[in-house]
Amino acid sequence: MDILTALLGGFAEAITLTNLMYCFLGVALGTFIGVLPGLGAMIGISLLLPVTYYLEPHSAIIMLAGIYYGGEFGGSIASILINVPGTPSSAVTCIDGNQMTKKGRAAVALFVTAIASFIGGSIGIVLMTLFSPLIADFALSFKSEDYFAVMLLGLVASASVARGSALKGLVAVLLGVLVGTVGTDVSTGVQRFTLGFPELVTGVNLVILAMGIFGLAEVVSSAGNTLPPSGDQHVRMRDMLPTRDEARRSTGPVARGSALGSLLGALPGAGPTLSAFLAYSFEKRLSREPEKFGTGIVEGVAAPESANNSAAQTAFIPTLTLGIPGTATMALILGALMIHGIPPGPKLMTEHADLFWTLVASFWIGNLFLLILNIPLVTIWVRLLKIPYRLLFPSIICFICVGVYSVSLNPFDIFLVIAIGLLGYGMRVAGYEAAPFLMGFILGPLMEEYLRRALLLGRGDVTVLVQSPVAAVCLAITSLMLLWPLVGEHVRRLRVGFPRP
Amino acid sequence: MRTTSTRRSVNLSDLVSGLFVVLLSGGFALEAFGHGIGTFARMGAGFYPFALGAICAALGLGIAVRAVIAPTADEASVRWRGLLFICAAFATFGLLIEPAGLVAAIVGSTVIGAMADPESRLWESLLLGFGLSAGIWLIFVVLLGLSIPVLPLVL
Repeated sequence: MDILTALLGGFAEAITLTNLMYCFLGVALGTFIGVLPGLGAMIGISLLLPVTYYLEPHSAIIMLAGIYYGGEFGGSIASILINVPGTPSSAVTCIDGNQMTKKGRAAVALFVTAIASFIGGSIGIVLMTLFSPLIADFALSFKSEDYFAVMLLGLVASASVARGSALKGLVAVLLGVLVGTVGTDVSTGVQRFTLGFPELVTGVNLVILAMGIFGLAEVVSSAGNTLPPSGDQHVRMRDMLPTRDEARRSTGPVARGSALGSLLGALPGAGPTLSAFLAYSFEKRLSREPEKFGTGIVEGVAAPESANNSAAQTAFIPTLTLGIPGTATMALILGALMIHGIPPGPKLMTEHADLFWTLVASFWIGNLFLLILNIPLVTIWVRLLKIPYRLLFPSIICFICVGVYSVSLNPFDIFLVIAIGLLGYGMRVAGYEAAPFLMGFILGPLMEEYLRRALLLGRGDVTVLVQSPVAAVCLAITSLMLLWPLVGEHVRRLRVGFPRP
Repeated sequence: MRTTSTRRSVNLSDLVSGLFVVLLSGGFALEAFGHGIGTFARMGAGFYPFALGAICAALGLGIAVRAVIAPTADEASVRWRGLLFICAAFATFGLLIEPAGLVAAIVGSTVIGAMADPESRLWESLLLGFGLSAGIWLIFVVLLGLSIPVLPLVL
């Protein structure tokens, strides 16, 4: 019953007018960003990071988290209506969702998506509520070498799951770690890689890095794009209700999708996108009529949408209980916690228990807001798809500039964004993913400290890293993941290509 | 720009990016070496970046070599127009914000940034720039209390 009282305490805090407002702002902005293709939760959170400097930590994290799961909700709207995924994780929803639109059943698809997302999200939150305290308890006994090994596993996993070459994923992680070492070394006081700029003595600010790597690079990639016309979709409330048969056929996919998503969301590197893909192909394989998938059936939207939303919620479990983000968005949330002086790790659950439970309570409230935003108010978002890009991206540029400038009122930071943005755009063009880069940047400096402490306590004996069971298991899995591409690329050549997002 | 290489030629984007990675991470490793490697028990400031810089440079070299001996189709295409105007828009903001204030910086970067899209029109981006200035002034200066100069210093 401890959990229940803690959760009630969380609700008491989350239901204050200020927090309700920030929660609503977060999910509304998340839906907005999710609906617009080319803009994801990453850019949304990056844009609002500087604003959160002015808020107290609870409200800040509530709002940033809301952008994240709101984006998962909103992403499917563009998939269904114009066959362009609003977020990567709703790419698979295009297949059946857009077919339903062509049959004139867009309203039903949107309704099923919203309900499936809500159920998936709710299941994810329940699991988060139940398991987080247990995992945090277990992790309290973690030593430095365990942290080092678990973080290394997380980084290598994020590099391996990256699209394209695993080698490039690893390079992206390593470059991120290297950029993370810029600035004063906390243990020795040596100023590293500052190139003589006094602005770099405190390191590269997370806001600047995220704005460059996600903001500038995304704007360059999407400027000049035009969206396919959404036609004149009249989505009316009264057309939304699915038939009794469709409702019955959706229950199984939603249940299985939520289960799969919850499981994968908590694992490092997997995240919502992979969950949605696997849930879809799982349903197709399980179905008695697999040939109907792709022709516009509700199962094809219910499964992936419940999976990506439950994964979006359970992704918070490792982030908040262990301080180990599974995806880049979670790494950004972790960075936001650090900006507010909250050190990540299992102690967060004890020392900042109120923050944890307030956040969990805000997830419930946020999901309810999203249900309202996505069912009765869906027509607003449909209209958003008509905003021309040429008005949108100059606005984003200005918000990035003002946001970056507001952090330390120094124009130097704007030029640093350009430099990092050029690096980010170059990486994107050449096929190096930005997500592992960001994870390396955030986890790298923490890993250096853990490694240093572990080796210091082990008196320089490197075998200390494999003496603890947790560390040994993590390092073993990490080595397997590193060795797999060497063997795997040869195996893959023999097979038919797996469909990529 | 789309360079689609045929088989047996070189994957240019992999070659260039691989070599760039070698230079960048090699630079990190080189400077890190100067900060002192230390020992395992007492890691110097250079230990961690030196080790990672060296590994990263080796991987970058691997990518570059693979681009020459076992090239895959090069699908890289750079949007030069967008890149040029958007970087210029950021630079405009950085150069104008302190001497000329918020309104000039925002209008300037909006007009230049909008040119990244060939279909943009000047009156439209001017209008957008002034609208954005008002919105950003309201959010950042009025609501959040940020002390940004709004108008040029001489006024």
